[in-house]
Amino acid sequence: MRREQTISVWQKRVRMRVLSDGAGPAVVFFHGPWGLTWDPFLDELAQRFTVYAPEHPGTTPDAPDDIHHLDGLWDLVLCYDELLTALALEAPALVGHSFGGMMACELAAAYPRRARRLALIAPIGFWRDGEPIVNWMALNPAELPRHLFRDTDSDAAQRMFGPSEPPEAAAAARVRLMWAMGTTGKFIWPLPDKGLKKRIHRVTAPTRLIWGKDDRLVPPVYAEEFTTRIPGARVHMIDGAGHAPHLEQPDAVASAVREFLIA
Amino acid sequence: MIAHLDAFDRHYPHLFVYLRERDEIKRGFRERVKLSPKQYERFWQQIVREGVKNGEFRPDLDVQVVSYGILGMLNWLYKWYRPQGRLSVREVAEQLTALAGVTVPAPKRNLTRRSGESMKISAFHLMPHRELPADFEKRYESVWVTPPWWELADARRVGQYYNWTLDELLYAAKCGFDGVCTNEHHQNAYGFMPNPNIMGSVLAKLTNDTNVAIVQMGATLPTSNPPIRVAEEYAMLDCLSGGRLVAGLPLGSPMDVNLCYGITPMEHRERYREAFALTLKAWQARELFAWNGRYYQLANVNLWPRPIQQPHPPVWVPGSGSISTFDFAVEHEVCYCFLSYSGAKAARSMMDKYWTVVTDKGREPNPYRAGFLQLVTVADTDAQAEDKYARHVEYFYHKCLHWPVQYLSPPGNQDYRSLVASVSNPLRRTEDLKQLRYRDFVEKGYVISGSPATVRDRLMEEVVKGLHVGNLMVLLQIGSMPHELTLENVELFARKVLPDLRDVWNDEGWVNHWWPERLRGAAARPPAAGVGASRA
Repeated sequence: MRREQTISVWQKRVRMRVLSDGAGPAVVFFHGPWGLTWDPFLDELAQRFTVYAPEHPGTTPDAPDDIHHLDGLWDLVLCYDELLTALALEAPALVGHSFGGMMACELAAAYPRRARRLALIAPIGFWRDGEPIVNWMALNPAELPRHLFRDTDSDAAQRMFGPSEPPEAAAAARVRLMWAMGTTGKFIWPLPDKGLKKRIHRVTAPTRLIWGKDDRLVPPVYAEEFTTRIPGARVHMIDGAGHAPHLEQPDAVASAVREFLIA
Repeated sequence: MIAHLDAFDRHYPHLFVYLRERDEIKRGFRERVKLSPKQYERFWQQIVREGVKNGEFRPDLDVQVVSYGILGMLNWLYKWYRPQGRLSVREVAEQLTALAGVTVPAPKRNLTRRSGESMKISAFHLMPHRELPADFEKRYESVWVTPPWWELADARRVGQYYNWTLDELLYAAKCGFDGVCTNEHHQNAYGFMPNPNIMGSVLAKLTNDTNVAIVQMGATLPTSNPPIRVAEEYAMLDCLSGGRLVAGLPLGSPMDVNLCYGITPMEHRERYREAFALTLKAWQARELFAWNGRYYQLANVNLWPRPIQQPHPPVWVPGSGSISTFDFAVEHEVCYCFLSYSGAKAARSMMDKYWTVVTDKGREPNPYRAGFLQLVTVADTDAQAEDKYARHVEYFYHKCLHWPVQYLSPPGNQDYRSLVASVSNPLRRTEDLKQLRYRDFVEKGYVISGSPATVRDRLMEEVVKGLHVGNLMVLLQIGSMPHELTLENVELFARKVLPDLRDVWNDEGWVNHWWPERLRGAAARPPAAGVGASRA
């Protein structure tokens, strides 16, 4: 049974809704720059774990302007620390996708004892001049699916970008998508390297990287940035998936993550 | 002498170019000029000789020295003479004739300035690339942010563009425009004055003997770090120009600020607002102060120099129709300027909303609270206008505005309220400009083009009265329009259109608080309570 709670942090100025489901050891899922959708991947994880999925500040309905109380990554990391405290989660496993992967890693670097295990799905956080990451915020929204998904007609793609009819629902989906990109973009514009390379050595949690083989947004070579810096970190490549492998191949990614988190 | 001056009046743009650049005009072209300089000099010697002979000139004059002297005096006119200036051609001729030593009884002249508060009409310039390849919009994805310099431009040629731009604005100043406008943009072929204050300083210096305002539209606060740099440069311009500055404080386009200058879209407006407050305080503070801002921290703000205009130069805030900017403009008592390329017809509903905000917030509907930019081309007839300007207008809309639509709204650039408003009720053009041709642009009012009468009437009805605008800006150099044609457009507008627009608001007696005080016409009624230059 899926639960929902809204938690106020940051002197009660930032409201974050947290969706949760399942039973078992705690897993916190950090969503990517396109907002949180509860999808089959999270259902799969909820079979074995208690999954907590917080919404990035500003993306919680009716609290869009809360984002303006956070000025930088330091504020955001502290916010998440407060959130884990409020949820009474001492040392959960952290799973994150894309921007959320970067946040999970930042949190694990800032508070090494906060992260039991770390599973990062196509995380950002680094920059290579020879392998530039496409700035999805400068793309025409109509072009986004092509950059994110291997199969743009899949249900997963539909879920992320919402309905195109009727017009009211399409407009709401558009606002939601734009605002999710804007509020996450606040912490990574104009390039997604915000100094993780200086902090990542602090990560002590066992770490697993998950990458779609056909990731056109963040090329899989970026996994090296993590594996060379976190002792013991390994990469699990996913066939038939782009930048959102957990959405395109939920079973494969869920079983890889589950296996790693249980080990 | 009168004939010579008449020629000035009629052919001012051509003579302006000729006299300024004749040493560089190649021989081939010179053959087309009917009278060689040598022949014209002999013509004048002949006149002086005859004048001496029949007693009109003093007998002790040396024919050669005097004729060269007169000719030099006349040819110097291009430096200072303005069609539509204070004196008519005949009056100028009389003054010069008197100076030259020929006695002509001077008639009484009425030198009083017109009364009432005249509308202000300024010449705007973008400084575009004028020679993009014909297939530019097919070959390249954007005119902004990504166009490759090395393929598309040449520094020496661009130097020529900058000089033409300055000459065109200076020429507008001479022709009787009230102000000259420059603006800031980055990494594009659409209009590339990365620092408009470099242009503005040249304009300020060379218009020091005039009543022309230096309208900077302007330096972009969020791209200046720290933003007191803009306060300083504007204060310099105000000092340099003797208090003729209009301080445009634009937000800056998302292309410039977010995509080229790396400012986070979500911080763009917040940075602007903080920088705006800092700028106004920096101009006015009597004591050194510390600024402990969210985005800017400065321990010792003590601006040198301060502007001449007190408490600060008039402030204009350009916008493109964002509702949050309306509120901001009214609350800060600035002149809101709608810079639109879609013309007055498309702007009508937007400007109506602005005036609603003005009245809702308890302000008077003073037309000088609003500025509007309109593209204008003038020729002797409507048909000639099409003939002369059609391709330049199409070049502008097809090439200079060629950028991916999402560049205008990177996520986070609009605040949430504006995002919801614009997504559910899109105001942005949905038309494909590439499908439109000159006649469409004219018909839809994107550009107002035609004979002086056509242009005058449309400007009056659609823009000035239709939008209730007191500070009109006109873009007269459009896209690929060459230098000589631009001068023609400027001259014809100044001579045949501008005088008929100027007095439209006089009877209503509004005071233009948003114009440098020393350049304003006589105030017809005192400022209303609560209306005035803003104070931080």
